[in-house]
Amino acid sequence: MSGNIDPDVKKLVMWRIDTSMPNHFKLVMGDKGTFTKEELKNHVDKEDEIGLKIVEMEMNFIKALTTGEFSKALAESYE
Amino acid sequence: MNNKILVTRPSYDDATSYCFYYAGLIIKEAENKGINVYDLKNPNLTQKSFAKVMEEKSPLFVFFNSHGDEKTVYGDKVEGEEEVLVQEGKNHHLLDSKLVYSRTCLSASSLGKACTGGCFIGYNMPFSFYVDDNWSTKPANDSTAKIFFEPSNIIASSIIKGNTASAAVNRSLAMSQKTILRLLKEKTEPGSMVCVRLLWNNMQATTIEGDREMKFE
Repeated sequence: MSGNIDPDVKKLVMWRIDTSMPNHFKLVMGDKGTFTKEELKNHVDKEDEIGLKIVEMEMNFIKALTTGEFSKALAESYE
Repeated sequence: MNNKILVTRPSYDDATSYCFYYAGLIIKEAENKGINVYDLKNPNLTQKSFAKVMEEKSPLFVFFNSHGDEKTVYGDKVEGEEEVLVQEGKNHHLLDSKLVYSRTCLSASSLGKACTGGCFIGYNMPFSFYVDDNWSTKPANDSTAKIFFEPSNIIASSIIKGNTASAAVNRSLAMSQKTILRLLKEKTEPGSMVCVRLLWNNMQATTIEGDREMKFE
């Protein structure tokens, strides 16, 4: 399975992984496996099933930020 | 009162070994409350033993910790293959009228909808978490994984305390929100922001199907 990720989106997601994921962290993604930072970047670069899932998760968060959904949810936690 | 719960917890890879440890905390909590716990783990975690406990003991609360997909919850690995415990269209009736928390990937999206008369809490995307590689052989000491498992465990903990399914999920979401706020205050700490993003995704993936007011009582 492979996708067709917009090159700018791909660059953004790889940059976010590169700059915010510590080297001693690993991502455990259910039965898909456990991934180091370099492995995640490789999957995004290859646009395979894992890479597409990572992109989807990053874009979900960015969408929540830009629509205000994220800040609204956090504001509710004060109520 | 139906005072019985069934917990499945294989342990053969990173995902299942962390779930195994955190499910163990719920088992201790339940046993301290005098609840009868059927703890299905290797070598007893098979489809046959699962069906037997469901049919003969009829636990009201079923807590899955394993891998899954849209239509399936798996158990242990048998001869290198994940054994199917529950499959939509084959034996999902075993979960009818039960209160289920399925800490497995994706099973809420189809299997959860197929079960009737009860409540199914689960995920419609992979339940994901970060681990600290320095502690990956000792889940109890891994404070990174704890960020993700505490809001998950509180669902099971709230249920055995007698809260409704809906209240249990809300408590989980509230805990995640508070953790996100704390992490945002520590955003210069390594790893804080990746944890925020993943916690958000787990929150979005949490799904509840069926009777939201159902209780373990």
